[in-house]
Amino acid sequence: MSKLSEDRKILLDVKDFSLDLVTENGSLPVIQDISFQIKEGEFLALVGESGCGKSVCSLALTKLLPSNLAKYKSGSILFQEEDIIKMDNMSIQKLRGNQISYVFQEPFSSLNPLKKIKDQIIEAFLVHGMGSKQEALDKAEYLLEKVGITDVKQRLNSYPNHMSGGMLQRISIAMALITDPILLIADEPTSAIDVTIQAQLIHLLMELKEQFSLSVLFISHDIALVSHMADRIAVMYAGEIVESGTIEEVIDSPKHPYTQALLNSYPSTDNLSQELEVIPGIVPSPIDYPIGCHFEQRCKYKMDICRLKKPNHIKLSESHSALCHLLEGKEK
Amino acid sequence: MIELKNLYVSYFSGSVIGWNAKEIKAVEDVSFSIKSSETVGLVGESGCGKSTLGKAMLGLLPIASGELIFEGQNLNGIKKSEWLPLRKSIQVIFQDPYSSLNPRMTIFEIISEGVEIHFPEFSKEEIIDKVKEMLTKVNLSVDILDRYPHEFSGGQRQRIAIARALILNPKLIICDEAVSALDVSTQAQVMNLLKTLKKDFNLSYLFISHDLNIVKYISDKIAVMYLGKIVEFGTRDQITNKPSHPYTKALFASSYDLKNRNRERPTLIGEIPSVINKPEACYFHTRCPIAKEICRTKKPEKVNLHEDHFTYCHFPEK
Repeated sequence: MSKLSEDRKILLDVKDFSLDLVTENGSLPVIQDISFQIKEGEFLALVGESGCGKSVCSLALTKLLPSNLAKYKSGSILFQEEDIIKMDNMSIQKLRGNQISYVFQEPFSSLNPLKKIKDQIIEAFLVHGMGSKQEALDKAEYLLEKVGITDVKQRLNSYPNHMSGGMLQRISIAMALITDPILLIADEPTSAIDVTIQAQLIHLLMELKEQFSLSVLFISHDIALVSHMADRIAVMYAGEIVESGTIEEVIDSPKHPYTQALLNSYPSTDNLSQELEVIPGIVPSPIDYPIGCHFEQRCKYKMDICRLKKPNHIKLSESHSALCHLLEGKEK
Repeated sequence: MIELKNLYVSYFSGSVIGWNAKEIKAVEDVSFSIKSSETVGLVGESGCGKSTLGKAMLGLLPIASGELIFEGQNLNGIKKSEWLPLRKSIQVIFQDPYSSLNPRMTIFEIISEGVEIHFPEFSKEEIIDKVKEMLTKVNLSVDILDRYPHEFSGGQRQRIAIARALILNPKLIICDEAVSALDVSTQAQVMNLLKTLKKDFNLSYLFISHDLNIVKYISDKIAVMYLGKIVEFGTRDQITNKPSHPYTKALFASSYDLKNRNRERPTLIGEIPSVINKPEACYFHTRCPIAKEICRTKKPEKVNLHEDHFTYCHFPEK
């Protein structure tokens, strides 16, 4: 499944990226030194529990966070070899909603209830000056058919409240595709949606990915869901990426204690009669992230060094790496 | 212990003052039973009537027709005052522990409120002891009595909600999406706790959830609901390994399992119809891969496949 040839170009390269959010309680280091890459045509899943920073990360990639709140501390976000952090607003506008598109979690709140579907779909196309209004409408029709909407003409003239969540999410996907993006960032696109409809949407997303040769960054809390479709997976915990690798590496032979515990706490056909593993304690808040390893307080293998010193990213194979003192010396 | 016989629950909508109000059958002809110390999982997609059924079983919604028999007594039509003593025996845990705990009450007030109503003979000291005992049972510290809900995390709050339900010594707890709002690692804590308590207190659960992996894990039996009707009911193994109704099959095929990864899965076509405008005859025929003419014209009858395993389908897989 992840036979990505080595010669594929790297589309998005996030390097040692850190971000602070400025609040009344001071600066919170919500993202600390994260690095990941997405190659052309690759499907990367970023998973983690709520509050780990995964959504902030997805918004930060195109500077969608309010500039007075988000402080870009260090690192770089290279998109097609250009650093997004250094770009001015005008240049980012040209990327955002054009080459990089978003699909958000809640279709009821991400679509404007007062505007007709057609006006919302074609907006990005017109803003980016990609053609006339008629061309935009033709393309919208074509895309709506592609995402499996029936009675397209009628749907284009209706409002979001006439449609179900599943249908609106299809429309959001069509809307994201109208500018022929290269990278699609999907933030929990199916979490608010019923399982049978979720299966339809995932199926659709995979088809579209092939057809339009999209790269996808898929953000989710559901590690079981992404294990069925991603090429690679990055596990985030308390602002850091603790493990990343191919699906086989991360799901079938996880190396970081957090990934291991997370997978064991998930009910699956394997452990129906066993007690689920419980991770003791709670996720630390960004107000008081530990100095050393962020998972140290909850880890069953903790050592003295974990409290004192930040672990390094240990490279276990070409694609697999984990952030843990235990793996020190096992580097490939 | 609790038995549902041809239970109907309806809502009325369409007119503000009640004229021409349209009856919406949210729960239709539901029959199954929960035995003592058994967990029945109730699954279905949103809007199918799962929570409505749960509320009707708690006496929070009126039953339109049918019987709800709890320990030999039919609860349909009994007066509000007659429900009061029953509330001890049938308790509930709601989905969102952020809204189900009153932010202005201390943890002690929250947990002890039910005891004060149902056991007025208890002295203050006895109540305090009892609350402390419950907190220990749900693995919380006993010094939190004077603290408020906002000081706790989601998982801790859900455990407080469990302690509140448990203190009345119930026989049946209706868990309405009790772990859905929690993160995976916290979910595991709460599910393990529910399993232990079930053994310790001989509890029965009606476990309402849309998450099939969780229902598979926790249930002894599973009821599958579609547009207000139970389409299939059976033991966990029957439902997960040998599903008979095409909807059950499709539903479980749509769930993503960590260890059984394949990319090819049958997906259902079409959208879920609205409960206001249900299809004719078999409700599932609009999305069913094996629907034939008869499914559009005739309601399917109950088919008993094994003991405790039945389905409503013209072409059940045996």
